[in-house]
Amino acid sequence: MTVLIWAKRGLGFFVFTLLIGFVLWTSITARPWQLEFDWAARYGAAYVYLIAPLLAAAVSFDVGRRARPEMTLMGATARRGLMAFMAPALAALGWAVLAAVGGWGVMAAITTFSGGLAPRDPWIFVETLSSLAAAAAVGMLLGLLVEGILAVAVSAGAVLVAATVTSGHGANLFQVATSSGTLVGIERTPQRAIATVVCHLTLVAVAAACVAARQRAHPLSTPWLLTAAVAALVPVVTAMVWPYSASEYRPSGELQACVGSQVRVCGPSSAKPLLLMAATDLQQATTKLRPSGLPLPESFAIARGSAAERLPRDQTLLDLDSSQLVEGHLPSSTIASALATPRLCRGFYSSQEAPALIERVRVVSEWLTSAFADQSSPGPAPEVVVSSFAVLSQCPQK
Amino acid sequence: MSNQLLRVDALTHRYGRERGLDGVTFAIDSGVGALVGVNGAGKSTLLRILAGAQRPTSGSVSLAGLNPFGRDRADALSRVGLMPQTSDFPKNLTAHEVVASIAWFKGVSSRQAKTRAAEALARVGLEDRANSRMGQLSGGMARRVALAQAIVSEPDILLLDEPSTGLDPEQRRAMIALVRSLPATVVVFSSHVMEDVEDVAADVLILDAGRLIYENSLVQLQERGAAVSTQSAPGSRAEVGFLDVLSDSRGRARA
Repeated sequence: MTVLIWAKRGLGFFVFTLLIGFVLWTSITARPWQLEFDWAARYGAAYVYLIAPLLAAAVSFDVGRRARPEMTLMGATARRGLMAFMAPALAALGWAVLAAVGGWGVMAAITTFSGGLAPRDPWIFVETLSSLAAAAAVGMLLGLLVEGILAVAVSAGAVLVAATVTSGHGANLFQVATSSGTLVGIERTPQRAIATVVCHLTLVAVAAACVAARQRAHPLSTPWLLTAAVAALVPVVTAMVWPYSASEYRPSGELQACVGSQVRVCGPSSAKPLLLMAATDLQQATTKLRPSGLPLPESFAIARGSAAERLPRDQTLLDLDSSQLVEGHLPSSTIASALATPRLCRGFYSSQEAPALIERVRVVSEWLTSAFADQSSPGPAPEVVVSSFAVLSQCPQK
Repeated sequence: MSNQLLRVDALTHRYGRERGLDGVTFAIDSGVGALVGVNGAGKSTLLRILAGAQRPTSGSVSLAGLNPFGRDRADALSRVGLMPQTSDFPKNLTAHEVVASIAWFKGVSSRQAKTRAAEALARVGLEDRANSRMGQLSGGMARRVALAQAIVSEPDILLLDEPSTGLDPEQRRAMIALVRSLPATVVVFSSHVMEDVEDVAADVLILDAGRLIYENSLVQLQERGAAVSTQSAPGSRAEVGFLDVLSDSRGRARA
């Protein structure tokens, strides 16, 4: 009941308004991710870095400036006394969670109506919610311990500093690994997500324990409190100094799926809708270009990082992300680029060979693009195109 | 002893090296008891300990036979209500929200808390201001909200810390009338105002520097006070002070 009261009277609604505003602004103004929920959610999660300090400040204001001192005393005389402090924190957290969930709802609706990919990354939810919970916990604790309006500034500052200092380490406090590009073919590195979540949950637990210890109705002896605090901090410290060589994301270990008949496109099974769109467009393109005489590739694969280098010789790398699909279709430039690069040549990585190879790609690509644009059926490809394509098809693979 | 609703044995409390309470022992089985003493005598400390908000350094407290610092803490706390000395409740909450919240803290269900809060506010005459925010209430109204939250869980033992502090004479009279009408079995209230003590209390407890120096009926104290004031007999600072004030108060009343 008190949580609902504080939800109505506290500053949580202010946080909600800011957060939902940010999410809606993001979803309306920038939608390269409209076919991919995970990308949308990771892209939008940038707000956590900004909202977490505000949430901590709002909670510390409600706890420090409003709930004290009488509610402290009355809470200490009651069996549910801890709620005197936890209710404002839970209310503000509830608003923030509601905004986050609302944002995900908007993103889910957009991706669904666009025929995009469903959520597949569970860490985004856990990381976001744990970040918000930790920020609220810090606000609650500092609102209780720091006197006056200073608590608001200290809370916001502490969260902001922690987020900035830990950025790029094993665990990123009060922020979520974001992405400004597709997540098809890659996934969140679980160890890093776990480290972050463990840190957040530990902060919540330590804050709750300190609040309970501070409440004289539930006194904890100093040795017990010290032991508990040290035990709680061990996983935090461990997670923080975890020797990470892993990056934020790694190539997806997801099962591969292939779609299409004459032209096949393979990729992560969760991306089947995108694979099907690509396969349809590539098949139409290769059918139209058949008179050219070029032995165009008919088997493509979406792969990232080291997985791209391990593709079999008969598969062509398709560098595709959902933002390239316009109303469900690949633009002709993307199709031309894919067809003109049948292999991932080793020469692309050599400063001596790369310019010549790239020039051949340009020659083939330009001719293919003009052939698409031509309403009539294209004739045989010019000799320069045929010879360039032959070099690109037979080059040693990386 | 077992039927005594409120019992305190050898209660001692220290703030670092300072002694807040020193071996206080008393018992009340029913009625209104006044807790009297100069500032710093330990009145608020004693009331906070009785309410379970502060663990004493040593000694024991029994609320209806239950230990508020032991395993039966939850049950013990549900038997006692505390009106704090100040009324600095969250200014953004309405009077009803404050009282209902505290009822819920005390273990009352959400639905009952709302009903009881409305009843408690009506009892203190604030039914028409129940939906006013605390920041919009006058000092006297805020004190009545403080009283409402103390009685909202319908406790057997009611502890009132300076209930008439900060009130004008009219408000003070209204507050005293309220205190007299309270349904709790035991009411302990601290006060500096002798008229309040005379109007409400049957028994008086006098604290001086953390020690209980007097525990008896008001009538006996008044008789003794008359003797002290006329014979100038030696006594402790607080006792003499209190008795003098009491004597003065009676003199003013006669005049």
